[in-house]
Amino acid sequence: MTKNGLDLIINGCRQGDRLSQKHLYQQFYQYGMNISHRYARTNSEAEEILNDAFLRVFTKIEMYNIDLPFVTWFHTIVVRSAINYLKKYENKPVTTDIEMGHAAIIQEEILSKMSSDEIVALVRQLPPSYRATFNLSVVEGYAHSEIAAIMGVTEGTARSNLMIARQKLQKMVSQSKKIVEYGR
Amino acid sequence: MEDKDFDNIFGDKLKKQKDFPFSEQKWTVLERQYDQLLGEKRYKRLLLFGGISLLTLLSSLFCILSLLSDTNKKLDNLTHEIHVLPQEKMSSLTPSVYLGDVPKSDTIFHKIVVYRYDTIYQTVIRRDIFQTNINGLNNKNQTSITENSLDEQGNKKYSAPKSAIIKSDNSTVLDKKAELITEKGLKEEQSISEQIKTINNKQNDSINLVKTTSTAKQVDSLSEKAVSVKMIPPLSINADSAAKNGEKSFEKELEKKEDKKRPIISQLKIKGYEFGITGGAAFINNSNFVNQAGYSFGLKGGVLFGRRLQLVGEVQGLNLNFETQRFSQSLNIPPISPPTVNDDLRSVNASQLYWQVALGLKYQFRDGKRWQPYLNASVVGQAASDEEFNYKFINRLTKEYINIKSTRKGSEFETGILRTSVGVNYRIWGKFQGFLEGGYDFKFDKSPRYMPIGQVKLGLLHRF
Repeated sequence: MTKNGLDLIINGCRQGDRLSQKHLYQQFYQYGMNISHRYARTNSEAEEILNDAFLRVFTKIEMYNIDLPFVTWFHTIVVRSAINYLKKYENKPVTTDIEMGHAAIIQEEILSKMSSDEIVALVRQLPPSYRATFNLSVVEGYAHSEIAAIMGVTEGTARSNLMIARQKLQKMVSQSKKIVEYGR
Repeated sequence: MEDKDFDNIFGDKLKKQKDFPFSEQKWTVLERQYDQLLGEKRYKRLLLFGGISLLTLLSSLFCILSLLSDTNKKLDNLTHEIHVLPQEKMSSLTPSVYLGDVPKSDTIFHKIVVYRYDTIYQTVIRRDIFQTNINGLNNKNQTSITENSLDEQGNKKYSAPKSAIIKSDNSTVLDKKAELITEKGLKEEQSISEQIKTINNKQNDSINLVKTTSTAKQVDSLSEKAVSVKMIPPLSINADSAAKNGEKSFEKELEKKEDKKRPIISQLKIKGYEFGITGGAAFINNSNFVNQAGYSFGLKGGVLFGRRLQLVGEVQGLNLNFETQRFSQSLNIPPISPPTVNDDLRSVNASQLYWQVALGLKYQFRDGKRWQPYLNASVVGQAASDEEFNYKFINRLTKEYINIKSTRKGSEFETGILRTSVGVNYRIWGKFQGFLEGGYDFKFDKSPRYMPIGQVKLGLLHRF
C-alpha cells in the first residue's frame, strides 16, 4: 500500500468514516494478528486483543502523528492492548523470586528443526505474565526496566519472570524431544 | 546452549508471519463493538460538556450577582445621603424631573435645542469681529482688511470679511484641484487604454495557464481515485518491510511537500458549512444597575475556508431586564417627572429586546483535535423592539408606592458595533459539535441608546 493511500485511509478514520475504518482493519488485520497471537492462549483470544487494539486506534486516531510511520504506532497499540488484556483477565500477582532451577540441556539442532507453529504452541502454554515478559523481551526487544514499566512490576520481578519463562520453555523443548525419541 | 542463542532461535521463529485470513464476519463483530463504545462515549461527552457549561454559567452568574450586590450597597449609601438633603435643594439639583405633572417618555428634543444654541453663538462672534474691523480698532485683522481694500479699490470702502475672502480663495483652490484631478484622471485613462492590450494579452496567457493546471489537477485526482480503488483488496504486510517502505515513502512525500508550496487562494477554498443553534446569558456592562438578568437565543452558521478560517454569520435575539434606582444618560432610560412633588423615585425596571445580525471571521486553533479554541471578530447590526419601563415612586409623607408604566418605540437598525469573542469548539460525535463562547459587544462612537453587552453562550452546530 502506498503512503498516500494510507494517509487517505487515516484521514477518513479521523473523520469517523466507516468505510475507511474497514479498509484499515482489512489492511492491518493479518499484521495485528501476528502480534496478538503470540500473547494470547488461543486464536479467539488473539482476535479479542486485536479488536481491542483497533477500537483504540479508531478512538485515539487524533493522537497519531501523521509524520511518523503508522505501522510502528499500530504495533505499540497492539502490544499494549495484549498486555492490558492479560492484566485484565488473566493476570495473577506474580511474587515469584529468582529460583536457581536446573536448566534443561537441549541441543540447538532440535530447536532449529521445530516449526514456528510448534514454538508458538510452546509459548502459549506459559502462564500469561511469563508469556508476556518472554515476548516483550525476546520478540519486541524491550529492556528489563521497560518491561517492568509496561507490566507494572519491579525490575527484579521482570528479570525473574523472564528467567522462569526461559527455563519452562527449555523443559518443554526437552520433553518434546523425549517424546519424539520414544516415538521412534 | 546459551540463553542468548535460545532467545535468538525462539525470537526468529516467533517473528515468522502466519496467515490469518480476513473475513467480513470479523469486521461486523468489531463494528458492533465500536458502535457500543461510541454510544457510551457520546453519553459521557454530553455529560462532560453539559457539566462544564453549567459550571461556567453558574460561575459567571455568581460573578455578576456579586458585582451587583456590591453596587447595590454603594447605591443604598448614596440614596441615604440624598434623603438627608433638604427638599429645596433636591428640586434644584434635578430640574429635569420636576418639569411638569405629565410623564414624559423622551428627552431627545432637549438635546437638539442645545445644539442649535451652539451654532447661533458662533455666528454672533464672527459678526462682532467684522464690526470692530470697520470701526478701526487696533487689530491685526483690521489692518490687513483695510490694506486689502485700499489696494484693490483705492478708497476706504466696505470690504468683505477675511473669512469670506478666504472662502472664495479656498473655492478657487478647490476648483483648481478638481481640474488637476480631472487632468490626472484623463492622463491615467489614456495610459490605461494604452496598457489594455498588454493586460489582455497577459490575461489570455494566465487563462491558458489556469486551463493547463486544472487539467493536471484532474489527472491527479483521477490517479488518487485509482489508488483508493486499489486499496480495497486485503494485502499482507510484513512488519519490517512495511515500516521501511513507510519511512522511505514518508521521506519522499516530505520532499515533495517542501517543493510544492500551495498558493493561499487554493487553501482558502470552501471546505464545508456548519449550522446550528445558540443560547446563553447576556449582561450589560454598567455599574448603575441594582439587578439585571438577560438571555440570548439565535441561529448561527458558518462557511469553512481551509482548515482554520471561517466566515461566521449569526442572528440572535437578546432579552435584557434590569433594575436601577436613578436616571442616568448612560443607562438609556427616559426620565419622567414624579406624580407629585412629594414623590421620590425608588426604582426603574426595564425590559429590552434587541435583534442582532452579526457577520465576522473566526480563526480556530488545534486543527483536527476534539477541543478547538478559537477567536472571533464580527461586525454587528442591531435593532431594538419596543421597550417597557416600570417606574416606582414613593411618597415621602404617606410612604405609599406609585407605579407608572411607560413604553418607548424601538430604535432603527444601527450598525458599527464590534464583537470580539473567545471560545472553544468540542466535537461531541460525528459531525455534531458544541461550543462555549464568551463575547463582548462595543461601539467606538458614543450612541445615546447603546450600552456595551457581554455574553456567555452555548451552542450546537452541525457540519455539512
